[in-house]
Amino acid sequence: MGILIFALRRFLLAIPTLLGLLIVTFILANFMPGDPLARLLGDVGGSNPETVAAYRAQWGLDRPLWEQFFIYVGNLLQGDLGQSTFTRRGVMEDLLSFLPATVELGVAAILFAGIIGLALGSLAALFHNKWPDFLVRAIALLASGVPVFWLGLIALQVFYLQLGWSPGPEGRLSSRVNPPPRITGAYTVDSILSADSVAFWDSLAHIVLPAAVLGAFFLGLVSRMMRASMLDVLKAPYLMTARSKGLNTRTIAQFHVLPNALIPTITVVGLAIGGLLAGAVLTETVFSWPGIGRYAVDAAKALDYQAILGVTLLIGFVYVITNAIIDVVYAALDPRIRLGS
Amino acid sequence: MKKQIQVSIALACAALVALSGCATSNNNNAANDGAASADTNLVIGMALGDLATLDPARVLADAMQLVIPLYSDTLVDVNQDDPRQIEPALASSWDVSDDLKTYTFHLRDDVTFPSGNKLTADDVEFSLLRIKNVQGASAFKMGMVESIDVIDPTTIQFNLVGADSSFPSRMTAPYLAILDSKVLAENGGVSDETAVDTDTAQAFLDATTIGTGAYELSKWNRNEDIIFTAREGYWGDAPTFTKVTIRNIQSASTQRQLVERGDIDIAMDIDPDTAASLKDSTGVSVGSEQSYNLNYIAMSDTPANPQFKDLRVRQAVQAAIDYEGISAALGGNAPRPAAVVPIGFLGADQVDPIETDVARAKALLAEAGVGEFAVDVTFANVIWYGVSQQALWEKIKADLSQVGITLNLKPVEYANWIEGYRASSLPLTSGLWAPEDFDSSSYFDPFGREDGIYGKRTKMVFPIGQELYEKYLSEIDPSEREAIAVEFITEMRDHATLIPIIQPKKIFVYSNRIDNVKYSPDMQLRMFDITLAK
Repeated sequence: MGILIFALRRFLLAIPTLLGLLIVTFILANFMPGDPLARLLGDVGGSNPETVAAYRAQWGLDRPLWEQFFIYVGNLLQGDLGQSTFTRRGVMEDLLSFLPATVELGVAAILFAGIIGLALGSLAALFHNKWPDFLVRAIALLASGVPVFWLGLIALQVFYLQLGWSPGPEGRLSSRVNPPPRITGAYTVDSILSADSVAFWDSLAHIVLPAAVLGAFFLGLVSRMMRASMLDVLKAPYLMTARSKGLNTRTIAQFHVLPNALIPTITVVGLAIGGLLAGAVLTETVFSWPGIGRYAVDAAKALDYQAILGVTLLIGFVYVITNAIIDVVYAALDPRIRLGS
Repeated sequence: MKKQIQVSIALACAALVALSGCATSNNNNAANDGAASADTNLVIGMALGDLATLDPARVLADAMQLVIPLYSDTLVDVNQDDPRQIEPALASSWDVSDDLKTYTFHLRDDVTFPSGNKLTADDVEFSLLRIKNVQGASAFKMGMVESIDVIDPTTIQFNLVGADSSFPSRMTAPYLAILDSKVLAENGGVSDETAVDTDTAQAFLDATTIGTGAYELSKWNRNEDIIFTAREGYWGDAPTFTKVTIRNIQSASTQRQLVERGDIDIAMDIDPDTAASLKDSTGVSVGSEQSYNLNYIAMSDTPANPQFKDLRVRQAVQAAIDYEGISAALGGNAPRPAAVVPIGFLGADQVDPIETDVARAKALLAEAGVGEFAVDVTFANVIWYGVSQQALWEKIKADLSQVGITLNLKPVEYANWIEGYRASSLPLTSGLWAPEDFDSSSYFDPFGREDGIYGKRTKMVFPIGQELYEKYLSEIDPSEREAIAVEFITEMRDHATLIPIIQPKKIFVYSNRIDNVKYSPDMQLRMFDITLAK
């Protein structure tokens, strides 16, 4: 089977998964106890039956559930996720305005955890059962074992309050720095694009600690996985062959050890992205980071069905698509997968 | 391969070096480089989670009480030291007809909007009718208004549905903001009766402020911060700070850290425990002032607990609660009014609250013959102005267990709680009321009448409330009004359906860089009085 056919089949299979996600999420959101208009109309406004009826009609909440579902799906196909009852803006508009901050934080966390995790994992494998190995294993255990909100609070206590090395949990920029003009919505990127060094260094300083905290779990996972798979590869017969051919250590590492050891690690990376998004909810709360996580919490508090649906679908979509991509990459790296053996 | 990596690293380094050198060529942050600009920038940390819009017609939210007065004004204002006194604002004076049904306001003629348009009576009519007809959360503020007549560009007349001696006080609510009607109409604003379906101005108002206030919106980064800058041409005194930034910091502990490190100037949501731990701190000051917010409990007539229909059972609950113990747990010295009208409001200071008396409570229950019984208490699991409702109910549960009433506590999300409360399905619950205007009628109306919002919910408000309410609104003589208010509050106390528990203090922690940080009854914080420390 060619890689293209494999990829096509894999992405087609994602469609029923997404549809299932949509149906389950829609039903769950609509059966949540509580009235979404409560927060919108306030204690007093919501006590007037006429006002409540007018708003129900306006938001389509007076129609039967199945009708609401088909209207929702119809709108969804046109890229319309409905209107948030809390912000009264389009949910798509809300998601697009909050997503860049989460993506920025998530990419920084993956970079942090990926680079350091791979390096630590490789180091541990190369020094198997020696002190660097023990140290890396201890770090990995701690990093993946500590709850993210607790780690966030401790990191702030140490690096912000005690040492003063990091900015505080005040979001993406200091209050005395103006944000760069919005191009991508990610401040580090936008400040480079607009050549604003003040905003760049300030936003970079603000992202380091939350990215490290969010990436910690991931770091533990990647380094342990990398260590284990590298140990397997180092024992493989084809390495003996490579060595006996007279290849130097560097060539062996670059072309034989790393690509083979990376395969299982990449699968772990894909699966961890879902966990990363879940961790973002807590990290964003601790660091006052204005991303999807904060939006999700506010939406849940306000019983804002449309927003909750939008966030859930987005996270589900990212998760399903990332897994599909990982499967394709996996198949590309390892022909045995696509050949079905 | 090696060469490619080296080239990439060299390019990245060059980009960073270039970026460092670009600071002078970029104007975006040039204004922030000097220390002088930091002096005139005020940074406030508070939970902005409920700030959904800047459109005053749409939502009532704590954050909006602070934000709206930055960019807009009302016809009249409250005196910050004594909010019962009404002061001129956009209206320099006002007259009232003998039957108290017609109010005429005379506007200042030196007020302009950011667009340069001059304030006229048309702006007042458009803004207030829009609030009424959009039918959003603040529409009830215009409930007494039957029609509005523009007499001339600086004179506007309100015709009310009935006599209302408290009308000028009602007009101080920050939500009744006067906006630039021409600009508003050009951007989707509608004021006639179709507004509920046709008004589309919210998106515009979320991006542009068009009020007569001292500040203009610079940028609202939703969920992150909201930034205002002082505007040219403001009709009042120029504010001390040329820039005000309100950062969305949810937790009290984070606000505390930021204010201690000097990253924010004022932390707004500090609980009593955190405030107590900061007493010896040198870099910050703790302000703790009496608020007008009131945390109360409400009993309702429900099939599950018919016991509460008996006045003696309600009075037993009232007598069994250890108010002193609750106050002590919250830092002490918090006053407790006799009924759901806070201390500081007309008449509230003159009626003594019921004291704790467990023996009396037991006697009342024995007299009622209800025996021991259990009640499900569904309440919003929130912290209201430093009062954790969970902790409050744990204490009341312990108090009531002494007289044979068992409480089953059921904390729920706010939205779930309010739904049950509105449906009159909660036999016993707690609520909070933070006033937007400062006449006792704003409590008599919802809490004291059978047809008031809470009268309908509890189904147990005394029948003479309506009569007392109308009598109060028809009286303009201050001493007569006070006498009626005292009578009303005494009735409310003795009826014991709604029992005030505590009027918590408002606590803020602020940097020693600033001074004169005080509580504002209508804005939470007297933004315009804050100065730089000498």
